[in-house]
Amino acid sequence: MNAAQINLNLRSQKEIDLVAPEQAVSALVDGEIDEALLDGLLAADGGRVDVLASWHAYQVIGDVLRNNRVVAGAQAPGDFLAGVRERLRSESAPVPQSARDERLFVKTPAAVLVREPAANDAVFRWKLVAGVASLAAVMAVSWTVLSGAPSGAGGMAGPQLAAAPVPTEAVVPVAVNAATTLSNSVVVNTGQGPLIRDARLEELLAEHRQNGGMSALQMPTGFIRNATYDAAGR
Amino acid sequence: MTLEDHTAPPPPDSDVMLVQRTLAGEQRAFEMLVIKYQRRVERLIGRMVRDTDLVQDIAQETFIRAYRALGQFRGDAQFYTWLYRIAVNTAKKQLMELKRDPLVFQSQMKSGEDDETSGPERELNSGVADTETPEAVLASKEIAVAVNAAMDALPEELRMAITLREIEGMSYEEIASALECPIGTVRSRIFRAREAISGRIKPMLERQTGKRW
Repeated sequence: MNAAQINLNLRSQKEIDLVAPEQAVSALVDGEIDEALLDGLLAADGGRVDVLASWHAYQVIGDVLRNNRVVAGAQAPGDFLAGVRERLRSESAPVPQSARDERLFVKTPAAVLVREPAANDAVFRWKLVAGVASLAAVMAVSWTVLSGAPSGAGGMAGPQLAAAPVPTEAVVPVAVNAATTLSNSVVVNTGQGPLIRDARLEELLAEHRQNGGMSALQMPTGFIRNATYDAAGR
Repeated sequence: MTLEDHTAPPPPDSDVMLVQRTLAGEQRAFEMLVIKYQRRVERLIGRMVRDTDLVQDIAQETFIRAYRALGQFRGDAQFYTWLYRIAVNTAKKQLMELKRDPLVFQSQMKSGEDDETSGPERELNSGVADTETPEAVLASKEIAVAVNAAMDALPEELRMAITLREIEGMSYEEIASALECPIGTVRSRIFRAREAISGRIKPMLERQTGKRW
């Protein structure tokens, strides 16, 4: 062990820990400072030159170890900082653009994230109104379902039709039935039961029967074909 | 040996912490940001502007503008990335006001745009380095010799810690894992190593106070 090592060892760990600002500077240079060290650093005497000198020295040490030379700077850090500090005196403190932006800085753990209370959370009247409205909605739906449903299986025919898959059975139009036809309507038998259609629409659909994917009136258009004639029997 | 803090979460971004403190009214926190990024900003501007006096003015103006706009820093990008844009815009505005040669300016701007992701190796070749005086070059060599001599004199544990940090670029957590010691010990060893080395070079640095180098 040489003399330099002996000198280094004379400075005990406890003694070095007492020099908190410099240790905080060392951690800050590395981007590894924590809140407690930063508190200590900022709480240190603002007029201390040691912190600035230490920072500069640590940067120079890093330059030499990485590049074996000192990276040039335009001006010594103390002079530069003095210039900036002088100009900052006339500046008012910056403020966050908004409270929302300020929240972005807060690194809140995901587990701690909770929904903020609603603005009217404290007003009991709103909770009462919401409860009554929910109850009324449930009662209205129930009344509609129960009162509109005839006895037997036919009562649910409408919902079943809506929920049914695309019919695989061909829709076969029938001739106009005088007994069941209204003034301008026809009854069409489909795979899902009789369907009342406008007579002119039925006539139009029949005339525009498509051959080989081409409409009689238009250029081949797949979506038109699907819209006007989607039944295999037409 | 306890390894209790090997798995500790990484510390929060120190720049964001400093921005927060500045916004909370602690101007010293902003001064830390100035000290931290002064050289990088100067090197960036030095690649666009050859006049070293102008580099200094623009760098100062950059930090003043950054201070004014600090409330707009959202923290979704690195602080230097944000500062870099301010520096480039400030330099551009200053040069336009001075009606400097736009061709030279644009070519330097183009190279300057790549700086955002470049490391210190690239920054070594910056324009400011070209303006070093023979005195400064000599002082730089002396400092380098002193640093290397101090490194050789360090105890093994300190030398290893600072080598892993400065040369290998490892984080404190990685060093703690490699050396099988707590992060607090790593922080302390690196600090002690730096203190030992800086004890030798501080007198040399003090002689340079007020000088460009």
